[in-house]
Amino acid sequence: MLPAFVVFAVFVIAPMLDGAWISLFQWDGVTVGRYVGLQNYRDIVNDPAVRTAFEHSLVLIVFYAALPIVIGLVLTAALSHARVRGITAVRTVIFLPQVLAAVVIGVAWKWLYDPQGPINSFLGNIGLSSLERPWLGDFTTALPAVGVIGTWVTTGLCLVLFMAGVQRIPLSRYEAARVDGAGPVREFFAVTLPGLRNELAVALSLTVITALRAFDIIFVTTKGGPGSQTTVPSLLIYQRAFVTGQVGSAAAIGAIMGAIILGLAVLITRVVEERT
Amino acid sequence: MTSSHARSLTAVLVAAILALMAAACGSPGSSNGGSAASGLASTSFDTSKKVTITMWDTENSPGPSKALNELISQFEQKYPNVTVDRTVKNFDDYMATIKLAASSDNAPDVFQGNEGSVDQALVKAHLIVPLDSLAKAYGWDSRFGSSAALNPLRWSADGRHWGTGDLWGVAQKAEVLGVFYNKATMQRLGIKVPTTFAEFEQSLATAKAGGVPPIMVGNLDRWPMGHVFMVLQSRFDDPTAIANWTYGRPGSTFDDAGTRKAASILEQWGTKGYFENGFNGVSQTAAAARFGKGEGLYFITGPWENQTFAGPLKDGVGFFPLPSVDGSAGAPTTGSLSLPYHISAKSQNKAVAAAFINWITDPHAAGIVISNGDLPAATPAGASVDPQSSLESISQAWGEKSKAGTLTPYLDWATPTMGDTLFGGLQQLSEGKVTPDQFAAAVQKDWEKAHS
Repeated sequence: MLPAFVVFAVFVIAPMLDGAWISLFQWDGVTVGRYVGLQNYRDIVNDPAVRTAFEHSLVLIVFYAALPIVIGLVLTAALSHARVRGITAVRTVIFLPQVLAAVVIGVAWKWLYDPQGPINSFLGNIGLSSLERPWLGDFTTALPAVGVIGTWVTTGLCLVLFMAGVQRIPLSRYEAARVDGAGPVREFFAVTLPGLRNELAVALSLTVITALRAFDIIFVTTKGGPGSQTTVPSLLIYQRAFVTGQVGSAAAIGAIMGAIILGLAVLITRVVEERT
Repeated sequence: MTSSHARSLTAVLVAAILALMAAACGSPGSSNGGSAASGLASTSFDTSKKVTITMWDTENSPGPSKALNELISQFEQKYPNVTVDRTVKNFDDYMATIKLAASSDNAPDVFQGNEGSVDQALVKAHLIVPLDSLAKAYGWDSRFGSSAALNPLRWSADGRHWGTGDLWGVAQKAEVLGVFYNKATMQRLGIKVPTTFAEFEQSLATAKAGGVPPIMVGNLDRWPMGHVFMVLQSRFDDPTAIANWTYGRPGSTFDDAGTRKAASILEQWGTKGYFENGFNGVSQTAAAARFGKGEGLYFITGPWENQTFAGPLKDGVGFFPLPSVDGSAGAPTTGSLSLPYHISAKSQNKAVAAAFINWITDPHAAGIVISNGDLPAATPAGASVDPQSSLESISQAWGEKSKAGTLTPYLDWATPTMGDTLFGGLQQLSEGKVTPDQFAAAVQKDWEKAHS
């Protein structure tokens, strides 16, 4: 185990500590940094832009985590007991977004959302042209539009996790439920859902972390706009580290994000995972 | 894992972490720039020694990139002992990495910077050398219209005062913002090229009534509306005041009557529907491509888009600077020397680097740049440009305004965060989400925070 620990220490722990160290400085990335202690953290806590960015992350959690999990559960309940032909093909297609590079996804969806693009054309063709919008440029729809991209990306992961998990639930439990007179909905809540607790914990952890870390898709589509409607903490980190020369502040946001993500992961695992 | 094994593993881990911490302690960053360029005033270098100079630039558009490659091979033919190693990146990637590259031990000998915070960082960190004596030897101070044209490239040696002091870079290209127009659409609408600002606004209303998007803009990218605003501001605000504010002179303000007037005109254009439908959701590349295909009457941008329009539209696209209020010529507009080339303080071949920079910015090079469809800073020699083309109008506008010294700088140079604040604010202003007063106040607040 020691070699693995060494690799882990060098590539994960050391940079983490280095980043935490840098967060105590005011540094432009080139000249010598100036030690300021916890000033960066104090500034960040009082900065409305950072607060707004974290609020947007919470919205993205709904789209990246909550929605895909619900969709995954519904699809699992529907597909796992049905003898549908080509179910593997359906599962593969839904999972495909997971293997695409985020930049590719962002560019493709930017085209889909273009005011003269396929989505608006489709709406116009089915008589809903009143719904046509400049999706990524509209102040109300920009964040949900970016969120929908996230839903599209992570639903496949949830579906695959849950369908695999359902296979592990002993058939005897389903039979027992049926004997007690349970319909499909009752069966789902009494047998399927509790049986999927471990998979739920994994899915929730992965999708929530993806939501909080989301950068590529936003950077490629809206760069945080319109105005600041789609700014997220990772975008602020990029801007401060590479554009405005506030590397210490960027490191501080990173440290805060890391702490939040770690806390959430521990919480999810504690609450949702089945105690063995 | 047994508990004693676990204990010793923990001990190893803690020791490793402590060792790493000790090694990493110390302030990040370094203060070693390169050697000063003392005595760097000669225009000749040893032509017998084999030398390779590295160059970084962000001229990735096909036209300017081809021009640079042509100039590089000509330079290598002129000086067979010299090889030029070129690296080119797109603008965002380039600006995110150039400061790091410049501070490394293998810093490129010649590289582009950007007026404003990038150049300031390079000057403050002693990563580039001042070029005044070279400018005198090579004649750079008289090459670009008026000596005022070089002001955006001047910084005090400590990097705290801008627009005055030593000269730190020289540019190959120039930019002047104005109105590209579709000649056929203009004729079809029964409009003539406007000569006053009122006529220009009238033409917007006529186009809108005729079902033509008056001004195409791809503002999903955020910065395009910045250029529309800047030419408006230069029409109604004092150019010296604009320059002073951008250069950070104490006591300057963005929140003045001229700026608020320009902001309220832009807001009206937004609410009257003078921009194309959904403009805040259309990318610049998409909007420019649509204009090139004949959509829209006007596109307010700079020479870098000229090839995008003139490629498909050829002589069907024209260019005029935004007309003045009273119709007089020589009105101020936004423009400047483009991204400057610097000599690295760490370069071992500064004389060769200087000769190369001279080669790519002189009138001969300007001729090659303009033949490739972009606007050079120096007056081009030995190139003929179609007199009917938009490029010819752009070239005339640049020549006239750079000589008169009536060019205003780009506002987003003012602070490192100004791009975000200004462009984000314009997205809100153009949709009526903030008032002109709120917009101006927010921008001024950003400026004051950076200059406190």
